Amino acid sequence: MRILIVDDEALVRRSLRRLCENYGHEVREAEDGLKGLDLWREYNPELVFVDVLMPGLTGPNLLKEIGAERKAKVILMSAYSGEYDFKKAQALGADLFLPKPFDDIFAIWKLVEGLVNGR
Amino acid sequence: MQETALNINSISLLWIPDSSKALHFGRYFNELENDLGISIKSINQIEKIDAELQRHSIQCVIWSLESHIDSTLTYMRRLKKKFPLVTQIAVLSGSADLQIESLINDSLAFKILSQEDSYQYVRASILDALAQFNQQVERRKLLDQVRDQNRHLEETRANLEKSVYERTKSEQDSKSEIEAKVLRMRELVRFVKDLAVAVTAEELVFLLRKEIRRFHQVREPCLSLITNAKKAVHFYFRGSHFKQKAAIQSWIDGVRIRINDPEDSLYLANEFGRPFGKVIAFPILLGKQQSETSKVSAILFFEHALSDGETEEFLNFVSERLQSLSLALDRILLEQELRNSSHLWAHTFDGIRDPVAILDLEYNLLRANRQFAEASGSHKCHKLFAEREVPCVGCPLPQALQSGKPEVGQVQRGDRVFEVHSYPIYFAREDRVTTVVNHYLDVTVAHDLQSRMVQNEKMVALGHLAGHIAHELNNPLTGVRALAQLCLNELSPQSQIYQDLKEVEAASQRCQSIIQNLLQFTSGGDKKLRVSLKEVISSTLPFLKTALGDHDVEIDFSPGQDWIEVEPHLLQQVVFNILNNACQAMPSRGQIHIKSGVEGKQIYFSVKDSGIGIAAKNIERVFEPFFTTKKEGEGTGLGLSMSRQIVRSFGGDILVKSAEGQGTEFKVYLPMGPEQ
Repeated sequence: MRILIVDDEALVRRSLRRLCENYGHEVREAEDGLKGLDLWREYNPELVFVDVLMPGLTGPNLLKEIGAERKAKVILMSAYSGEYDFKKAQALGADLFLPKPFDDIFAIWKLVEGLVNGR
Repeated sequence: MQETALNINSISLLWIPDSSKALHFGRYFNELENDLGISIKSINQIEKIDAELQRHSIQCVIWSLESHIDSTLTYMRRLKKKFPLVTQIAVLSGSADLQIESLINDSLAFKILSQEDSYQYVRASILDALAQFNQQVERRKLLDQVRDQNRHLEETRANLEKSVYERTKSEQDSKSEIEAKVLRMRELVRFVKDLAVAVTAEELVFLLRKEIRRFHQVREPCLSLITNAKKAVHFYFRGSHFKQKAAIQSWIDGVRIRINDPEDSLYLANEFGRPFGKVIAFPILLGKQQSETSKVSAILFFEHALSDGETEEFLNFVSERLQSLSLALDRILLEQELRNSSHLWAHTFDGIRDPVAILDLEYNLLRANRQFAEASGSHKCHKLFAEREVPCVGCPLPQALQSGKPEVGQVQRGDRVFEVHSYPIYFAREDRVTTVVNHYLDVTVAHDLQSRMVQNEKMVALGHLAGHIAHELNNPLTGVRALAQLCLNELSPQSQIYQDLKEVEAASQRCQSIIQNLLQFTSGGDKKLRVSLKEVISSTLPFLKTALGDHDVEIDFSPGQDWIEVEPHLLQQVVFNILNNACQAMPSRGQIHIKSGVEGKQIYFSVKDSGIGIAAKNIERVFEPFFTTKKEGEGTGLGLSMSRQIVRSFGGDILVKSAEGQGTEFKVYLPMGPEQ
């Protein structure tokens, strides 16, 4: 599966890449929203991890931009657990909402698998 | 022998012989007549003597004492009596010795002759007799002159006496006139002196009525005073009571003294509801004009029954005193007005709710209103108001003095905070400020509210900041934790790196908790939530891990429910503050005992430390805002005061028990929250 990670924090990207590559997937990274938008269009991933607060284009705006073009599943992440929640994420067009920080990275993967496999 | 000028035409001598024998004596007469130039007449009848004496100016009478001696003597005596000036000669014959005695004794005869005497002797004797007569006449004349002169003198003396008496009398009259004037002057002076000490209209009218008491025909005076535009007041005595009465209508105008004007009588009759007799009215012009329409500000009315003459005297009497009355009345009215203003000012001054004080350069109290603290002894503001020996920190007085403009400062007294406004006052004569009015506004509530607001705002801002910080921290933290977990997955548990990574992962987890707590701690909103006290305390402990780490911490939560209804983050602040203080009170390793439990209807928690304790004199002040025993920069002193306010706002309270060197215990009580 082609996976795109859009987050401004290097360690987040690195750890997610590690996780995804562990399970044999292909990973591309973008460090801000604009680059992410370009890469999304170019790479056409099947799964995208999007952070909410980023310089340039924020997560929600990125989703708005990509609009109908996207064919991937979207996982929205946020360190601001108060302001965003599942409902809001869905309204923005995301399929899953992950509050940061992650308690257990492997548990997260289970969620991701579930999403991707349509469960 | 003297020769005297004789009147030849008149008979000078009278010869009264009483017997023929006696006639013998007459032999000399012719010769004598020629010799002396005199005329001698002889009469036979003794009774005719009077006629002769009256008809002629007889100078001498010669008697013969021959027979009928007694009757002759009688006639002689009679003659002496009747015509004392006429000289009498007696011619005796031998047999008349006894009678000689008589003649000599009575000195009837000037000379005694005998029939037998010689011519020369007779002649000489007669001359003597005539001379004697003349002498007597002269003497008589002299006497008469003297008598006249005496009378004249007497008259003059009498006249003099009279004129002296009259002058004396007129002097006395003018003296008594002067005395009367002096007396009148003295009376006037006394009256004016008495007026000078009168302070009320009552006293003035009283003095006046005493003064006119001598005029029995004048009744009680009435003083009518105009108070403003149209209103007037009558002042008068009825018996010994002083009365004051508002006028029904304003009186007749006119600056002249009115005597027996029926209009006045009618006016007074209307005012007092009884008929009035003759009235004399004296208008008084006061310095301060009471009305725009009239120059007259007061009138003195006298009802009287004086006669015309008495009236004049009365008029003079009162006119003399009118000016001093007017001055005294002026003064009384002015003093009353001043007193009223003074009262008004004093009332206003004392009526101001806030303390106000008038001070000089050196904080000495010149005047203060009732709200200002009253302490005996010192006159310094800072001593009286705030019980300080030196000026309060933040007092704006010195700036106001320097800048000459109102200045504001904040001063603390006990647990109250005051906003002090210093207004410099300029007096006309000075060119620099030496006096200041201080207005003390108790802004403790506002101040505390503001502190709370600021604190709240800080918290809100912190909340926002915390949010950002949290986000910033959460990102790398996510990475750290996730990566650690991933790496751990690939490592064998026996390896060294595995253990290290495990520690790393645990540490990052701790970081996550702290951040979560922080977010909770700083989240805004006034919502009271039902929380567990134990949880609140427990969630605060991690924040103080470092500080608490130095000491032995014993936590003693009582089992069972301890629900309270509070704003959790605020209570966390309180717990944090108390614990922080406890830590700071112990410079070296000590003990902190945290306990919680239930007491009656309240839930409590207590923090006891084994630190330096609080001095008895400071225990009361420990909750004062800004009170701190820490050095400058090491704490604002807001913590405990805010903490107590927060706890009180939840319906609880904080108590403190401490002794110097024996540690401190803070106990926080909170009402039990609802079961559900």
